[in-house]
Amino acid sequence: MSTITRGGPFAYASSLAIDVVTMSLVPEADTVRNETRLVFDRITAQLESKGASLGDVIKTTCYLRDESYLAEFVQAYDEVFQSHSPATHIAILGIAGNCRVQIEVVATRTPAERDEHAPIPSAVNTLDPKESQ
Amino acid sequence: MTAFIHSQPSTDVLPRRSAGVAAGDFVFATGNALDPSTGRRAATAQTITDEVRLCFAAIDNVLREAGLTRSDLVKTTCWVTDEAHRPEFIEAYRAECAVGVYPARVTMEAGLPGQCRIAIEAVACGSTPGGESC
Repeated sequence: MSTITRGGPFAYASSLAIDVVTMSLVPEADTVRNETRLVFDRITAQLESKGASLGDVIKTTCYLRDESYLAEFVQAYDEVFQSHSPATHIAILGIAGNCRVQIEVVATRTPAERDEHAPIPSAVNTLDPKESQ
Repeated sequence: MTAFIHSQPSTDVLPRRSAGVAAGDFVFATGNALDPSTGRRAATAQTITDEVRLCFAAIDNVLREAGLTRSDLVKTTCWVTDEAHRPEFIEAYRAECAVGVYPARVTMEAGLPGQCRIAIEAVACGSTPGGESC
C-alpha cells in the first residue's frame, strides 16, 4: 500500500493520525482539531516528498467517524486552506483504529512536469443499458 | 491550468470549499442538495429522486463553467445514507444519465452532513489540447 502515488497530471495522497504499531490514534491527536492538523501535516510531508505542497491540492474527500465532529473539523480545515478552496466532499463512516478523521487529496502536477509526460490514456464510457449496482 | 469553480463559504457542517475544479483536461465536481444559506438539505429535495436531480444540477453547474456536459463524465462516487434509498437512487440516477453514457460508478452507504441522503462526486474529462478526446 502507498500513501502517495503520482499518475498522469495528478498526485494522490491520504493519511490519518494513526500509530501503525498500535493501530490507535497517536497521543498528539487529542482533539479533533489537533487530529485534523496532524493528518494534514502527514499529507504535507507526502506531497513534499513528490515535490508538491498543500497549495497544489485541488480536491479532498474527508471521512469523519461521527457527525458530532463536524464543527471542530470544519474550523481546523478552514485554517489549513486559507489561500484557495479545494473541491471538498465529507462522508461519515467507520475509520481504522479509534481515528476520527481520515483525508485523501488530489494534487496537480506543476505545468512543467506535466509537459514531460505522455498523454493520458483514453477513458471509456460503458454502453450497457442494463448498467446497475 | 487549474480553475476553482463556485467557491462557497463555510457553514457549520462544511468548510470553505469549491463545488468543483477544472485541472487540465479533467473536471472534479461535488454534487449535493445542500442549501448554501442554511447548510442543510434544500427544502426542494423532498424525495430521493428530487435529491438526485439536485445533485446532478450542481454537477451540471460545474461542468458548464468548464465547458463540458454530462456526456463527458467518466466516473462517479455515489453516497447514500441508507440502503433503503438505494433502489430509488439507482432509478433516479439512470434517468439523469445521458442515454448510453454510464460513467464508472461506485455507490456506498455512509453518513452525510446537513441531513443530506445522497451525494455524488463526479470526474469528467474533456478534450486534450491536440483535439483528441480523453
